[in-house]
Amino acid sequence: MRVIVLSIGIFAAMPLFNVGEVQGQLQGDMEGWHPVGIENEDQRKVFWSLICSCGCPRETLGTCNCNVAHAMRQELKADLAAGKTLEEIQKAYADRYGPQALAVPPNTGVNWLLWALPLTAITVGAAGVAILFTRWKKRNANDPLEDDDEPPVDAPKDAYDDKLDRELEELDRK
Amino acid sequence: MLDFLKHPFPSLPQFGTAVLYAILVAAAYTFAVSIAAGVGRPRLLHSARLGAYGTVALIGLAVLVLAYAFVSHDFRIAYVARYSERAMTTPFLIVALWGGQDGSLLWWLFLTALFSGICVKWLGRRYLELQPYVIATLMGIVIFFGILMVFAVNPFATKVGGAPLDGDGLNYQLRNFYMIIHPPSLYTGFTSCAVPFAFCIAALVTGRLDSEWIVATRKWMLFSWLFLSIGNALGMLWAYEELGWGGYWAWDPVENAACLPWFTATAYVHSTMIQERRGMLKVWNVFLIVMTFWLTIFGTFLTRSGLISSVHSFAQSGIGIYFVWFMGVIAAFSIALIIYRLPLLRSEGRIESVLSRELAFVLNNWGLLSICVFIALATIWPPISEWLLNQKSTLGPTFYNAWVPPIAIIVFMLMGVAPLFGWRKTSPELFKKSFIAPTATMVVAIILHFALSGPLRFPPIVEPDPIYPGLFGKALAWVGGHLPLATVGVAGFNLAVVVQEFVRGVRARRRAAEARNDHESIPKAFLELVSKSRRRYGGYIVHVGIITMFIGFTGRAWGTDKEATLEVGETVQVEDYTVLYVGPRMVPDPEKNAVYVDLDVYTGSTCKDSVNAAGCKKQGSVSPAKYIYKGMGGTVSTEIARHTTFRDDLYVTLGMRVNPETKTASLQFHINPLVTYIWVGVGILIFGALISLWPDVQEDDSPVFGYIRLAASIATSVMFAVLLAAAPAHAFASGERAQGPPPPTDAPPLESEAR
Repeated sequence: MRVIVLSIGIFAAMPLFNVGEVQGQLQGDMEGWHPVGIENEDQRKVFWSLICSCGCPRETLGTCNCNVAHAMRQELKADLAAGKTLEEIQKAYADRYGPQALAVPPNTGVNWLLWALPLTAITVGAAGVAILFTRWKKRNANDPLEDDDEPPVDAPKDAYDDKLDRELEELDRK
Repeated sequence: MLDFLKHPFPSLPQFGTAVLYAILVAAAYTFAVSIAAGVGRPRLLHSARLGAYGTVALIGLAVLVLAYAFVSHDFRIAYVARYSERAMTTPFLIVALWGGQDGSLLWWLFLTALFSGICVKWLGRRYLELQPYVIATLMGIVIFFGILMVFAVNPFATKVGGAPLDGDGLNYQLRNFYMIIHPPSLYTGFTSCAVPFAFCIAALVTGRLDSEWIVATRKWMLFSWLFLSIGNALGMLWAYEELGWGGYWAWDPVENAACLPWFTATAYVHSTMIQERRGMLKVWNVFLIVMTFWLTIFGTFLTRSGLISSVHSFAQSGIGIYFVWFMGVIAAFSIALIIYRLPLLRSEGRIESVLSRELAFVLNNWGLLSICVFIALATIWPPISEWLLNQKSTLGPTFYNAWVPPIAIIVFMLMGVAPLFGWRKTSPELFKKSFIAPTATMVVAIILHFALSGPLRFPPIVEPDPIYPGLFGKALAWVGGHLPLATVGVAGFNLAVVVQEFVRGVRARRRAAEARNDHESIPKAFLELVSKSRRRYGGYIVHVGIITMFIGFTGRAWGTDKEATLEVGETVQVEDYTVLYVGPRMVPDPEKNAVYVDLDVYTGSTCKDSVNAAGCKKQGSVSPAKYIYKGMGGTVSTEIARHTTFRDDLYVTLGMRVNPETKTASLQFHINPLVTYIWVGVGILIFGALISLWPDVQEDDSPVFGYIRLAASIATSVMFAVLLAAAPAHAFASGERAQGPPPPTDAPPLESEAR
């Protein structure tokens, strides 16, 4: 009964996602095929950093072959020839098509949470491991295990594996 | 009334829907009876077992009805009309069962039921206290899918406008061998995770949290892990062979969701050993099992809800909310149970030394979960960013390729170090001693890499583009640039560790034999070692598979792309390869017109001058193609071609349709170094996992019965695997036959056939 009450409590506390609002598929002009036609390193950097607005979701101008991508590449090539920098071009592209048109969200504003959140979780995990080990070690210092102690409680023993471990240990001592 | 009795189901769709209702009723009955058996009426357990079999049979019947509808072209059923056509061969009609949303969910339910049935049969008179709750949990899952079928995605729903004369046909991207077997094997991995989850819930409910349930679920989890690995690998192969963008992993949200449970399952198969040996990490193991199952549902949710743009999205429907509720119920119930049972889950964990395998395994779990957390958060970032920050965003492969490999290399390193530790404690001297050979190998590998980087053109240090401006971006790019060298070094280290472990094992066996005044030859000692400690040495072989795969992944750092538009007879230089455009040819069949472009691949220093020059050798031919389907609105698909060597793949795709007048062909070339090692690594991994899974002969059996039982169980599992793999393979073969044999290379050119 307690479990049921507890489950209902936890469930009620969960924020429910609104899945009714579905992000639309990026659909566009799939007709035609055009080579990417990268001519230099600058073009490669620009094309690979911008998402194409047609074709497969998340495909960059560096691989997309549709008409829209072709037209965009021609425009961007002209921008590069006019002396615009990578950052300027990316900014203009994002202003025009929205921030979702960048292959990597810019590391500004709250976007740094994108890598900071998981890295924090990983660091907290590492701290957890350290705390766990300190506690285990302390417990052992207070009440050390004897050398001939059996593995504790209910652990089923794999007799052959244990024997092998002992033999390997002996072998290493030689 | 009498009419109803005479013709209770006037049509197949109605009968199918009635079976779905029956499944729901049978599963609910079995659930209730199982709970009753668990709470004090043990005699009802027999009813629960029979109820489970009945439910499984009904689900099998539902699948048969749908299969019959496909085979008999019953286009009254909307699903059949949408995913099949009269021209399709029978095996492909069966494959169409999981070609769309509704049928694939029924297939999912069927596999869950199949594993539930096998589990109930296997349980027999074992684990009598856990059994009622195991059955109840499995039936709970069946009830969820039953509700989904009946109320949201009934595969037997009829078309409002009546039956069309012919159906729409199966999507051409599904008419690919890897795509045919990739979903079933991934589903097998996903659905079989339900059994360990059911044991875990049963252990939590009954409070029997000793190692009993861990031992019971050990092989089940390894089985799920194996099929998750195979499913993900086949997904990579499908992407590589069918999508035509030149790579195998695009960090698509659904790809990510499919690999997440793999990480938690991998963590579990390691941490479970600590519980078995030392009785520690009980809460953690419970959490990992729950998480693995939860992530399988989460993966299905991502694929079905259309929440995030993906190449895998099914037709969008409102079933996402059902999955959200289900995930919520699983999470709430599991967390509540864990909190309730915390007193029993606490273990008197203690450790003698930091230099112990316990530490290595815990660190390994931390590493695997780190990757899992990173990928999970990045995958759901776009909707989070939109809802919470009101800012749309897209995460392309560039982001993942910059962040995930540095974390992965840490786990890769931990994988190599862990076997060097003994349980409980390792003396510093022994530890140092066991480090010598692997470290020396690592140094040799690094030196060799520098030495061979020239001839092989695999520079140890590369310069990726920073993904962020400023120092931070440069630092990240610096780490990424050194990863190829680090991977080669760590691979050398890890390989030496595995070899050393085998050598030590063989030596220990031979010494023990000598002590008994016996003699064991090295091959015999090796075979005995592996066969007597299959789990451990099978695991080491899996490690070799992972090492090989990592080498394959590293090849991405050295890949190059090139585009060329060629006239017939013209050549293009793509790194070492000289590619000659021989000509186009069109091969029509009832289904499509295939336009092939024949290319000859040459290597040699003189090829640049002429492919006929001395020293220029023809290595083979490739024929990328465009298939123009006659149905499906003239859909065009790109068929890749590749020339594979141990160094690299020359991967070629054909651009726009070949100009029938000029015969000019636009081609894209990708040099993908070391890709073959990924597939070889997967093969080694499967081999290792099978060794670990190989059943033991029961010691309490007489030898004869033991071996008979062993043979029977192996035969059953092999049959099962063959059924899973070969049935679709047959479909593929039939499909190929229907399309006619591949034409000879000297087939008439495009122009003449076009006339």
